[in-house]
Amino acid sequence: MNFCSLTLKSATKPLLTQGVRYVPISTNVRYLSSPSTPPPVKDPKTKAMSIIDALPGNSVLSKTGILGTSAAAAIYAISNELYIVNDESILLLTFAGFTALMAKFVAPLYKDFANARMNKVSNILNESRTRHVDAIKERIGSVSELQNVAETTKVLFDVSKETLELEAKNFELKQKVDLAAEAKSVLDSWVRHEASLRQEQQKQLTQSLLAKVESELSNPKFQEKVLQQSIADVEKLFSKLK
Amino acid sequence: MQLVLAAKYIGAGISATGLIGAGIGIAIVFAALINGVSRNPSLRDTLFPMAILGFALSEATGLFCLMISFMLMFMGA
Amino acid sequence: MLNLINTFINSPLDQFESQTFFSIFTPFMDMNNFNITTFALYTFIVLFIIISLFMFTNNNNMIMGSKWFITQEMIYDTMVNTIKNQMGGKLWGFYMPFIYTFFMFILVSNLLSMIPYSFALTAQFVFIISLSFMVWLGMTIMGFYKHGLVFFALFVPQGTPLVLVPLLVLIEMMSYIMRSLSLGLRLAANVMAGHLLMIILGGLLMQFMSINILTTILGFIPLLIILCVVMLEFAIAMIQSYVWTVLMASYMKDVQYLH
Repeated sequence: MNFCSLTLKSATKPLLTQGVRYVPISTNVRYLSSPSTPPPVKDPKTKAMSIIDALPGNSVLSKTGILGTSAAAAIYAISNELYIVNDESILLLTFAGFTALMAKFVAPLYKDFANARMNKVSNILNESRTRHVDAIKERIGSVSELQNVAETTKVLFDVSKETLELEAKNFELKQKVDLAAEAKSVLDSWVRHEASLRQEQQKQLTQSLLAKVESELSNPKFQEKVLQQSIADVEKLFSKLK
Repeated sequence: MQLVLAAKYIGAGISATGLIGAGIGIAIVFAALINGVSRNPSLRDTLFPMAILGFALSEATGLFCLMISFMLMFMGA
Repeated sequence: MLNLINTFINSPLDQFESQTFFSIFTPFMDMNNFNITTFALYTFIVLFIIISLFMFTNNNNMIMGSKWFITQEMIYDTMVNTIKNQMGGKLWGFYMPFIYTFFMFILVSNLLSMIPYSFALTAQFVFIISLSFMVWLGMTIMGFYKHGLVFFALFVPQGTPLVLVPLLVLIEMMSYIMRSLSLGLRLAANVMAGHLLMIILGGLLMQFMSINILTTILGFIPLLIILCVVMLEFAIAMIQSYVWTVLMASYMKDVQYLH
């Protein structure tokens, strides 16, 4: 018990801040222990009435009648030696005590245990049933999203047909373009070929011309002629300048 | 013939001393149970049925002796 | 208890006497074994109890049994676990109904005998010892049928030096033969000793209480002691049936798998 909570100094601090060393009483249920509040004291009159209430029968008259007849039957049986009180009647007493003890202490425990087990099993079964139902609902939901499959496939089929046609046209046009491009390239090559031929021709022409000129140049008569012409030209120039 | 009756009763009384063994045996079995449980509390699974089996077997040998005592007391000529 | 035949109990062994209720009149052959005796009557009562424990407790064969049915489930689970632990291997399932039948029979007849003025079926030595002898004999024959002459390998424990083997085989064979008697004798001796003890104590207390009124009131204290003895007898009644089944499973394991 933590008595320092009773001192004046710690009365200013609330109890919660006094630290973890003060562990409150656990709130777990202690099994088979007496309750913390004492039970109310039974009235002695109710206790006496409870004995009378425990007798079989409904009204006072039937209770006295049953008691009287059972007493008379017991006396008759014992006195006429229908029932002998011997060693086994002690065993009868002990067996009755044993069954009373079992009925008082063991039977509620067993009832709790059996109820707990039945609840557990029925919970498992019910839970599995609800989970199965939920799984089926989910599957229904997921499947019902495909409910217009036929229409979708028809639309898809039309789209694919269109696509096919367009593709065919595309292919055709592409082939035309390719053909045109090829023709153009062929013509270009021809043009280039012609151009190169012409170039070759020109080159040959110039070459032949050059060769002719060179041959003419190497001709001494031509050289003489050229020399004389050039001298004449130079003289002309000199005469101009002078 | 009273001698035979007296001898029967005396023999029945003497042969009941074999139950000392039964008492000691049961005590040993349960001492081993308590020892084992205090070292390793795996009680309800394996140790307790074996302790009950050991109790019944050791009690049986004691009762073999008690049988002889009953035979001498209640039977025979 | 109803003294209709005007008999008094003289010795404590009288509770185990078997009285004939109906007998068959056969002048030409001795068919006295078909009489309806107390033994036959109580066997029928045990059968009726076992059948009604199964038939009247399941509520219309639903998956969820009633609270009474849970006891049957618990007994079944105990038996399955015990036999699976004892026998193991592949063959434990074959012999489980056999051993379960013995358990139910001995349990119900033991608990039935605890009721006052009842008759103890399992205290009949001839019945129980012949039952255990038949079980042992059947197991031995099955062992010979299954393993042939290799069955004698049961008597040689593993890892013994060869010198000790002849002596050890003799001792083991003696122990094996004694199993036939000891299995039944254990049960019968326990039940009979328990009932005798209860009757004798009851007789003593009766004599004590019938002296005068003072001792009658004073005699309620030994009555509590007898109550404890009765509780012990209830426990022994259930333990003995369990011990019978465990030992039978163990013997079956020895015979089937040759340890």
